[in-house]
Amino acid sequence: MTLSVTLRRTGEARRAGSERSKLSRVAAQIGVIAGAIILWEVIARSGVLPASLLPPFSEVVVALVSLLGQASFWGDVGATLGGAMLGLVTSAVIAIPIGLLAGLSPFVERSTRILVDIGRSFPSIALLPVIILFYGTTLPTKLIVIVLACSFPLIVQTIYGARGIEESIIETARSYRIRFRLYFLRVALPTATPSIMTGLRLATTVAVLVAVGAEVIGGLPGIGQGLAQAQLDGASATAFAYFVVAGTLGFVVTRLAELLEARFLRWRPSDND
Amino acid sequence: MSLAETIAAPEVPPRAQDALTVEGLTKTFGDRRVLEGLDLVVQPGEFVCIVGPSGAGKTTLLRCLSGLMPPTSGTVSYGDTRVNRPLAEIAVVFQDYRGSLMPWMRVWDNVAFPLQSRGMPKAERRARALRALESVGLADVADQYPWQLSGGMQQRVAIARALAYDAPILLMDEPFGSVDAQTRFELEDLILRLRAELGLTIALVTHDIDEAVYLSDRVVVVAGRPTRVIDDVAIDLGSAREQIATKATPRFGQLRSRVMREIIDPRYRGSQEERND
Amino acid sequence: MTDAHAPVTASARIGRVVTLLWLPVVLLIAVFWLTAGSTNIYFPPATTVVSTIVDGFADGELGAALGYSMTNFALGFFIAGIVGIAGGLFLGERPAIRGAFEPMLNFVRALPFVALVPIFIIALGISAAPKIALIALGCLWPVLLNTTDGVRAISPSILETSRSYRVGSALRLRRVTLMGALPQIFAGLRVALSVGIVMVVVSEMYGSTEGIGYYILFSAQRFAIAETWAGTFVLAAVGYLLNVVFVWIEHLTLGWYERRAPRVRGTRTARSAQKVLA
Repeated sequence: MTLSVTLRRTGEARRAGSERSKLSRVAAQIGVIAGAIILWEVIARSGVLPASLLPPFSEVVVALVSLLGQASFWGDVGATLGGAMLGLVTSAVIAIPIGLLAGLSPFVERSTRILVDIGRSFPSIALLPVIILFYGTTLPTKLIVIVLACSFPLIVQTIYGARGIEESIIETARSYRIRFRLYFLRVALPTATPSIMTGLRLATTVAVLVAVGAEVIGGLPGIGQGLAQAQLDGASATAFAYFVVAGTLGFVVTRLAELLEARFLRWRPSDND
Repeated sequence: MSLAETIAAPEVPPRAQDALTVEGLTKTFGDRRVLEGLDLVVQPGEFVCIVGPSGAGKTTLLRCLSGLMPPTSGTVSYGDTRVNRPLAEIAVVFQDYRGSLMPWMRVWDNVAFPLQSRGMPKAERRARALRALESVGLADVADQYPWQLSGGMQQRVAIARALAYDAPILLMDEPFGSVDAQTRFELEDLILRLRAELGLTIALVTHDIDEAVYLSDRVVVVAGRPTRVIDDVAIDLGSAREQIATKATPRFGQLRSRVMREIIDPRYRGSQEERND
Repeated sequence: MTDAHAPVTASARIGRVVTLLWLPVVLLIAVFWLTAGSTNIYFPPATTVVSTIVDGFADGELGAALGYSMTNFALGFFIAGIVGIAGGLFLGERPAIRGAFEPMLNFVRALPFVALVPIFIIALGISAAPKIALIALGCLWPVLLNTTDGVRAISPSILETSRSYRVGSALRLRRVTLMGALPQIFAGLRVALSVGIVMVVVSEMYGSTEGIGYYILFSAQRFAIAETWAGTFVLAAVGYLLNVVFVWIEHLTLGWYERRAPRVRGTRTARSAQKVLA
């Protein structure tokens, strides 16, 4: 990236100006992040907070690096990620058809509204003790909780998408006596897809979150358990490293879901509400 | 509000003590010069319309006049006071009422809101707001929300707000552009009537030539890239105006044609016969 | 949507209520009927669970547990609300500062604060304070980010109008910026509500001797199945109630927002039109 020194035309001057302001914005952003890290280091080392609560940034980095070389760490990541994804897919298979049905049929939507609201407001993680009674601390337990947690937001989003079909489109379809199957595939589904993709994106974040939470409480293998164990052993820097990993995982997975959502929407240029 | 109402000349003295003076106003955005060396004076009690083609920087001009935007060079003054921030003596009515009335406040509250900033107690504010709403004929909707009203009524609320602000000078940015033609005529007459009753000094920006000629004492024509003052036309249609009769006079047609030609071709300036010096 | 054209007669209203309630009622009856006289240790009769709930409240155990949880939740939520809204209003009005903080905030927003539960509790103990801190931390980010977005979404011409009428900054903040951002603020608070409940439950299940989460976990651990179900249902009921109350408060406060003519989405237009006309 070169800044033009000789400004022959006003166009160049304008471009140079916006490059300058973009540069200063990035510099400010880096400054904020650097400042936060420095603040972290200073507060951690000052002893204001217990060392086990906030280990210094430098120690966390060291712990993180060492984690990356351990097979057990990658096993944990795999367990969390695998559980989250499996739960997400299962939840999608269950929730999207229900959502579509409810979205297309006002009767179904109203009938299931209270149930969906209750499910949505319930913290699925709280079911962990009950489910552990049946299945013990195994993968199915974690999956059930993830599926429950992801399904309700996904149902809500799908309903929203399926309901959003303009009245005029519905009436046009009816006046042309279009058969339901065709209507479903060519009208309802494409209209609902953007909301469904949004729902999947939201569910992705929830899946990772609930997976980690279930591991923390239920002692199931994964990042959550690695974190809890490290903290119990007094290796709080390692625990924090796990926390950062969990955050990064969630961030990366959500970003991927966002990109997928955008890419999917690009194939459907007709959506411009 | 019948269309065939004649609005008489102002009987009260103008409230404004001083003239609104613009000298050499230039406004540049980055490397794009929008306004170039504009000179303009609005005397106390005058109704001046600023006309020009769309995109001619008229809104920019109004922003500079109201103190919302500082000029790049040149000055805007009200008497001796430099206008480089909004003044208490100048009230603005914007084009888009949807963007200027607050949907979470009721109509009277919207009208009274600028007064709250002056520390006026609620009862007095409401009384002032109701008086202002009455003068625009909307006293009965005072407790409704703006979005419950039609477009023309909302713009009248915006006007009422400017009136309650009690400023001697009123700046209006294409205030009747967002309403239908019928409503526009009613609002034009409303403004004329209010100006006569309250002694207001008004500068109104518009792209509607008929409106400009009908309403004003003087029409300032701006055009070109960058925008300059092309002409300053005195409107000698008499001090009483009426939508049908005034617009049917030959003089109206002449003035209108002159302004229109100047806008279409900024290099043209009214011929000797059309000019009235 | 046939909803918009349905006449608002008394029979139509009754019909609507029936449609809303029939499935939950049927399921409830089914649960009671199917579990009646059950000898399965994992699924005691629904009546037993109900009596356990009643007993739990009668002897104060459930009440105390709920009280503990709800107090912590309220405090954490309140703190997060104040800080989040104040911070959001501050950032929202200063695009330069907001832009500088944006990448960092985006990263922090993705952090799973549930994972901090072991760290906090082991470091600070099982008392109420670490839990309140965890709840506040978890609730903060949705409120902060949504408030910022809400301020940004305010039409610039509204702010310009305030400026042209020389409205002072304190008044503008209170009556324009805050009000304009309020719909988005409520959206953030709603997310914070569910995050907060999760934080309550997880923190109490991981390290606590009090609270509804602890009650459920402890009951499960000593195989008091009826109590486990009892606690779970009470929690579900409370969570649902909190949401209902929240939506009601939102409706009261944002009545003006819901009723004004929206600019997108056909279904809402139909519904809103019906409300204005009715």
